Amino acid sequence: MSDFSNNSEIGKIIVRCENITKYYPVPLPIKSIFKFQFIREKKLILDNIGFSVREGEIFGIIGPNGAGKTTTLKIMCTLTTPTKGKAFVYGHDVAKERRDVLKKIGYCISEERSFFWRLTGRQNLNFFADLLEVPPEKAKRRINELLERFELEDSSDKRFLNYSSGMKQKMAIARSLLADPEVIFMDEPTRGLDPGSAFKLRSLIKSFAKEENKTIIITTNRVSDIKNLCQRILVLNKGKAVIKGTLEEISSSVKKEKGVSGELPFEETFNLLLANNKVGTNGEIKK
Amino acid sequence: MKSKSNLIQTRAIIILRKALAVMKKEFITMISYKLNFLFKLSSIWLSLLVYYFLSKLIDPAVSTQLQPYGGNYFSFVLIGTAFSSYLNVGLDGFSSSIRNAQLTGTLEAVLVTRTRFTTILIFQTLWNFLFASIHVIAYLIFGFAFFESDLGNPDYFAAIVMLLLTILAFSSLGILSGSFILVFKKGTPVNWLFYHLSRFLGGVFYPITVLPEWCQKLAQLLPITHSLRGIRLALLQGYSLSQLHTEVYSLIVFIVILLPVSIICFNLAFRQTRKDGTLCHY
Repeated sequence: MSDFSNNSEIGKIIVRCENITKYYPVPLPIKSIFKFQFIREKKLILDNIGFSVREGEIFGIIGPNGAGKTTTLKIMCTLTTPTKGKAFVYGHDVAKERRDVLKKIGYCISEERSFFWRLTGRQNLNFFADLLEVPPEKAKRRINELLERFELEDSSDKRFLNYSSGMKQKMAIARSLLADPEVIFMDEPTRGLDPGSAFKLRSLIKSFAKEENKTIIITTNRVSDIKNLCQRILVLNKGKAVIKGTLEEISSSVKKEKGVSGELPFEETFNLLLANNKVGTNGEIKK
Repeated sequence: MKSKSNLIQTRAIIILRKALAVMKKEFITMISYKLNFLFKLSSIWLSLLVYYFLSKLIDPAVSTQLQPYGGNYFSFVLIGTAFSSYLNVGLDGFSSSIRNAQLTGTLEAVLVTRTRFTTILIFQTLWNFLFASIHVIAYLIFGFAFFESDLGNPDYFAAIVMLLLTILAFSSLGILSGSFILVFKKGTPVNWLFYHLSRFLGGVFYPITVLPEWCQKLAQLLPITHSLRGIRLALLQGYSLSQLHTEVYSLIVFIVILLPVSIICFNLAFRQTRKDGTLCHY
């Protein structure tokens, strides 16, 4: 399946991942030291993954736990390097041009402990704005704007430790937008949220993506995130690309493969895909 | 030419802003734990009491080993203990900053900003040194105000130069220690080796001349030996920088050797953990 459907409205490719493979070393067990075995085994986390994302697009990476979604994002955000293959953001190699890549991206970590809990929400955003080299006047304006957009103004001077899960997730998104980056990587932004809060957060993501023309790459294991947010998706399972394309393309491909006629809900498509688990290196379902 | 100087000025302002941001964050966090702050101050007071009564045991007339430092044991140990806190910060500053960020989960968030990891660590360590300085000042104020301690005729300039060299030498060891924390997450041989050896051989609690000769030779291989001797002589005997040339040159040799080695080791450790994907593990 091609990376893009024939849509002339979409912009140029700004994120490119070419045949990424990632192995993580397995820690040595204590007994191996006594046996003088010091060579660590390697575990395959990502196997030959490739995708491209165009300007202004919301691209989803979906898969069950352990599929390799976060590792893919960490490679794109320069937190780890690929064992094989290359990845680029605005033409900058994520393994070699770390500083250039970091100038272009925002990373929304849904880990609530990624904030300083003894500081207030505003103090946290001020701290990260300084590290992101946002000029003070601009930072002040942007922080107020983001707090207002995410309905956090009233609690901005409360300590972060008093925030609810939903507020913490909103703060994570606000932080990733501080320096007004072109591309935002979001790691499971609706994780741990109740359906109502997840719905509200999705609406927020959708609105700022449209208003500020942001390119978003989102990982999730919630089908509802994909259905409501993403224009195209990549389905990962056990480190392998199962399929990629628009929801319609994927749905019709699965229907054809499984011989299903009529409507096929996306939840069902997703289940069929993961049960299938026959993987092509470029994302096709193998016959 | 003008635009180049403007660029340098802008860069300097950005760096200063980052330094202030890190220190402000640390300050807010510190004062949010009010009880801990009070306990730290009271522990200074209590340890001073211990050293004061210990010093009563040592008669200045018989302690010839203390004569080069003015003969007063309390002043000797006060400076030893106060300034050895710089060793602790130097050794532990980098590694504890990394370890804290790994444990609290803030490391990833900080690593994806436009600020170099080493820059953040340096500012964090700078804050630790600043806090250690408050510690040292409190030690000295309490010691000189409430106990029988006397500075004599101190050469402050020489003491400050010695202190800056001390910070650089100890920080080099700290960067080396941080490399171990990045890779092994917990436990660093650098801290273990230098912390315990420095307290034993470095002359914190007693002049190294009381040690066997081979121990005295070994003590010369530790930066703390030169640093404490220099600071004591500057503060208690008023030695000038030219009179402290042996200590100054010794510390410079340590810095010239240790600083590049530790920076290379740290960069290698950072690259390796990024490759292994264990940068934020703990």
